[in-house]
Amino acid sequence: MDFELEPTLESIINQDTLKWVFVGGKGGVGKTTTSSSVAVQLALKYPQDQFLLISTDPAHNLSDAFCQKFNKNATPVEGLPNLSCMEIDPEAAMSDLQQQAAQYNNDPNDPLKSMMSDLTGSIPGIDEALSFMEVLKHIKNQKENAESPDSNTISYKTIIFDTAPTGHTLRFLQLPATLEKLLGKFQDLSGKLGPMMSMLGAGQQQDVFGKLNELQKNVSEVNEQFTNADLTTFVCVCISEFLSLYETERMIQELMSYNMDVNSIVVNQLLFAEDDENCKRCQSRWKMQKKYLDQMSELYEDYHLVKMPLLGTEIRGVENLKRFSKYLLTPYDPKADGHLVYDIEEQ
Amino acid sequence: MSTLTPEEKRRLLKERRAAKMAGGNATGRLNAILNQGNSVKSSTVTSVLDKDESPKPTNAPIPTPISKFHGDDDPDTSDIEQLLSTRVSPAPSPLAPQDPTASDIDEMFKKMFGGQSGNGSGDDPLTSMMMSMMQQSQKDEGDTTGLQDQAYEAQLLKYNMYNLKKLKYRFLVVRYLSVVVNFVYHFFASTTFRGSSHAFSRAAGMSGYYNNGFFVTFVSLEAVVLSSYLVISSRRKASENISSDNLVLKVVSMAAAVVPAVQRFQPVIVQLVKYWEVLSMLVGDLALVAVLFGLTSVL
Repeated sequence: MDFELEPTLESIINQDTLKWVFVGGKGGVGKTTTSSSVAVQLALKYPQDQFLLISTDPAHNLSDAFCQKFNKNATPVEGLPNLSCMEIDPEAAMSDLQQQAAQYNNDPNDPLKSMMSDLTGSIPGIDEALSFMEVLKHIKNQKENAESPDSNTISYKTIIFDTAPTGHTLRFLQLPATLEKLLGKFQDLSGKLGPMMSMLGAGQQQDVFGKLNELQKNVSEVNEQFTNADLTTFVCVCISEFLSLYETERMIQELMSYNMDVNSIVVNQLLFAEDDENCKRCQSRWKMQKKYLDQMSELYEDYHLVKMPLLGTEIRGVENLKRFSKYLLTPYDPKADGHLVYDIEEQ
Repeated sequence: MSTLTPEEKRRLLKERRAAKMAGGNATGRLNAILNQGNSVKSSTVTSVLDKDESPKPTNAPIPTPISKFHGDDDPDTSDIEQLLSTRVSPAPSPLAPQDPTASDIDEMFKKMFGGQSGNGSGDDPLTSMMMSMMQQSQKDEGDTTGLQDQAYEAQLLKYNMYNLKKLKYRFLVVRYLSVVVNFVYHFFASTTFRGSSHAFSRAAGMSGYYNNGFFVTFVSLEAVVLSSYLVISSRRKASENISSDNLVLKVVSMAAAVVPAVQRFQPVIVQLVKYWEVLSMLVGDLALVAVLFGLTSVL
């Protein structure tokens, strides 16, 4: 059976059930612009609901995209109050983690403690782990809100992730399943050692095992949510070049192996230079882009393939993002919408 | 077509996408892209989806829609019914098998430290170091190299002790022979070289040339023999083996385990024990001379 798949992200914006939207791809393809645009469109579409855009990339760009300083706390975007942004700071989160760990180990001179902090700081993927902790925090908030709607915590309708380049992101998405497995092991262990520990009066260890069990439940829930296409989707961002296309295909396959839903691909920085006879370089490059676009159309006929133009300047600030993001919902027509290339105001 | 709800449409599209990746097509797609590139003429890259097909000895087969496609003889046709039935209960992630016993803890650590696919290559230096450390420790536990080393050490210690004893007995023979020869010579060369229970007789004998000559020779020989013993035993590192045989050193070793400061004095104590051994040899030789003089007093 054949479907007419519209070349827009309308299905994502209109999908009422979505809780998590990941935006990822190779470095420098416009992930931040796309994730910001998706977040802006969601916020405009549902003005009564709250949305959160989280940057999990250690090299944060959200502040630059919105021309507003963000930090590890969710901060509302000026001019779009129902959208908040946050940039996860691994170092700050790390110190929080150490403070939490300090309640179990009060000895400041314990050599093991400093060794552990050094070790945890250098574990590859710790950034992703900390980002994941944020996800857990939001799940907890949502639960609390569901139980008592009057509580002060904000419940976000959808959380959009501006992810780090592919490798980091795949590790991040792998984490729930890995953690679930690891915590399952701990649970087995606590089941075996629990009676012995209670005999020895090790209440603190029991407390730790209790916390681990609670964590496992949350992680399982995240894992379930991430693999549920009604709740989670992944938007691949790429440019029309060989390496980017290869990376996109590799990422899609990897995400499919995690059972994650990917149904949309945004192709950024397209020149649409058919009528630009004066610029030979533009025409030559557009020819190359078209070659890969044709290949993409063939490979991704079951995906929403969104083609976005390369503009004359950087897309920064809420107003510019609003203008640009419009074309995520209406296909960009170079003849009718060509003015956009130079309409964007430089910030 | 128009009767399909957005949810149904999404689900069918997802299944169709999965079907297109099944049956080795995922690898084909990757290679098709790579062969387009100017820098790569031919490629043999394998997709993660196709890697899952090969049975892993440590992991149980995972019931995902994707893996079911892999087992299909006719991958080009997707069985929607089958897919829909698998979607009734949410399929577990392929990375989270339900049976905890089926998971391999090593595999899990590899994934945790980004070794599998996160960076695409899996050659993180820290990861490989940790993995090699873990594998090394497992190897050590598994084989009997450690036990063999222990047995060898014990045998070597025994052999060294035997050598030390042999050396001592050889020097004992030399010492006793030298004392006896020296004594017999002086006994027959001088009539005054005798032991006596009478003080006046002993006083008369002491002043004689042969009496002095015996002691000069005795002291010289003792000095040569004992210093030779000291040098030879040091060369053979006999002192390292003394500790296993000497009670004082055993006590010191045990004390060092409890009070580490004692360990500082251990070399000094070993040296003292060595000198004590030489001194006891000298005392033993003097005792022999006393016995020989005693014998002459009754002859």
